[in-house]
Order: sequence, then structure tokens, then C-alpha cells
Amino acid sequence: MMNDLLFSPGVATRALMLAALTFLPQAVLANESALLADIKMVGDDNFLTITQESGPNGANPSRPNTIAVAMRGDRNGGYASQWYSGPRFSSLTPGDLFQSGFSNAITIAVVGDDNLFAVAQTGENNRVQGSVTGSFNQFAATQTGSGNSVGFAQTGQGNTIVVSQNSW
Amino acid sequence: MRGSVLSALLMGAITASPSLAGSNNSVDLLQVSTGQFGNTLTIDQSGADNSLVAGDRLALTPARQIGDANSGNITVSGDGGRVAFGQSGLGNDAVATVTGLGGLGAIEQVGRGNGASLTVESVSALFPSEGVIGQFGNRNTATLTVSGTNVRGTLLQTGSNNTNSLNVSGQDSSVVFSQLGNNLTAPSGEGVSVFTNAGNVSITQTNFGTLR
Repeated sequence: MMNDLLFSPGVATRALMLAALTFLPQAVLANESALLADIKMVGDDNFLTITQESGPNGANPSRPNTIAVAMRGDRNGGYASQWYSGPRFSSLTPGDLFQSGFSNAITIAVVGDDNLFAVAQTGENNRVQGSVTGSFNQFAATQTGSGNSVGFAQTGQGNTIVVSQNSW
Repeated sequence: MRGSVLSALLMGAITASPSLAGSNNSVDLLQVSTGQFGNTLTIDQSGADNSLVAGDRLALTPARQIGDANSGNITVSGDGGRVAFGQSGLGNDAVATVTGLGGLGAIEQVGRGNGASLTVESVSALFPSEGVIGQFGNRNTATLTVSGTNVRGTLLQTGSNNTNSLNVSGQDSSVVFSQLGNNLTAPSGEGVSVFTNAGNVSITQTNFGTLR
């Protein structure tokens, strides 16, 4: 199964449907068997919740999952003026991207200000790759397992990167 | 010694460090500040072995913050941890702690008014640890603490009005300490202290001469 969602001012049907349910533009994917979630968003105040799980209750563990998010706008990823406040940041609410399994990948590219993104991966050989251009953006990632990696680039001012990597 | 030369030294040490079987997590990053508000970096690699913080996955370049008023805080507590972190600009602050067997920490700062604090510990002579701080510019502050067995500490500062504290302790430990500049000071009651047996100690202080 493959998901390819495009959110933009011109193509916003599904976003509007979801917005009608929650009063906010958002994308929610609980993607048990997906191989790819490819999301492109243009606009402000969007919010994401994406879950990809491998294993007995999820996708075939031999087929890694991929999340790709490209976003242009401000205040995307969640609400949270008071986000990230402590070590290990156990509750990664804003953005709420989650993957479990092996050799999964999350790619995030953001252009804008005041965006918040959280990524959690559990498993082995998982990868987070991201870039943010803008100011006062926050990015937090937790990885639990072995052979995991985070690669990130931020350009702007007042930005924050927080990464926690732990073994099993 | 130029910053680029030190970078080569740092990365050579990073890539040559002993390898231990383990978790092999890595973080590679670049933060560029384009305004008066600096960026913030926090990395916690506790509880995993062979963790890496660098600018790329092959550890050929250091993780880097470019601009002013940036801060970086890195904690690695497993065996074989390696940190290579660089900052360039004004008023930056870097704090790193590497504990575990065979750890390696390196901080490089280029600019003025920067502060670096690095703590490296290892208790095994078979997997010794190493800590390196290099600062190039004026009014910088460095604190380097390396402890364990067969450990190595290197503190290099080039510039004037710099302050440092260097503490290396442990059997067979070695130290390289070099300051080049004027009005070099140490915090009250601190400075350079080395407690070791059969280690190599090299201390060089060179004055620029009279400023005009």
C-alpha cells in the first residue's frame, strides 16, 4: 500500500475534510502496512500524526517503511509554545511521527518559522534525515535501538535540535 | 596552528580511535545561525555503545554550529563514544561529556568570547580515552578534564585574553598544552594540573610580544 498525499491551497480536498473534523488542517496516518507515506504541505498551522509499525501487528518486517514530509509554511507540526522541556523528552507530541522496526527512514524538509517536529523511532538501522530553513523552529528525535542515525541541517536563528539515542 | 589544521587533527583522531562492538548510533548535523538569536543543540547518547556525533556519518568533518550565540550540549555515556564538535562565531558555548571505554571528545571553536567545556573519562588502559579542545580567537574560555588510565588531554589556545583550566589524571596519562597570546589567565585556584605516572607532558606558552 502506498500513500501519496498532497496538501496545497489548490489541492486541499482531503485536508479540508480533516479540518472539518478537528477545526485544524492536519494529516493523520495510522499506516500499519504502508511502505511509503509521502506528504507535501503548503500553508500554516498544519499538524501531523503518522505512525508506521513493523512486526506482528504492522507491516512486513522485511519491507522497511518510509516517511517523507516536505512542508512550507509557519507553525506547522504541532502546537507548542512550551515544547521540549526535559531530558529524554518522553512525550514527543508535536508532529508525532513514529516508526518501529528495521531500516526505516524519515525524511523531513521544512521551510518556514515556528515549526515543531518530533520523531520517534524504535528498532535497528533506522534513519532520520532533515533540513529546516527558517527561524525559531524546533526539532526533537528519539531513537531506541542499534545502528540508528540522525542527520540534520538547520539554517536560521533561534532554532533548536534535540536528539536522544539509546540502546535497547 | 590554523583551525583547519586542527580540524584535520581532530578528525584523524576520531577516525583512528579504537572500535568496540555495540550500538553504532550516530548524529551528524549542521546548524547555521543567520541572526542575533543563536541556535540550540542538545544530544544525549546515553546507554549505547559506539555512538558518534560528527558532521557526517564517516566522521570526516565535525558537527558544526556556525554563527553567534549558539549553544551545544552533548552527552555520550557508552563505550566507544566519539564526539567531534565545532563552533565558529561569537559568544558560542559548547559542553560535552564522553564517558565509557575508548571515548574520544574534541571541541573546536573559532571566534571571540566562546566557551568550551569537555569532560572525558575511561577506566581501561586497553581502551584509553582522549579529550581535545582547540580555540582560535580572543577572550575564550576552555575547561578540559580527562581522567582514567592511559588517557590523553590536549588543550590548544591561540589568541589573547584567553582563560583555561586543564585537569588530567590517571596512570600513564599524557598531556599537550599550548597557549599562544597575551594576557593569558586561569580561573582562581585552577589552571593546569596533571597527576600521572610515566606519562608525557608537553607545555608551551608563547607571548605575542608587546601590543601596540
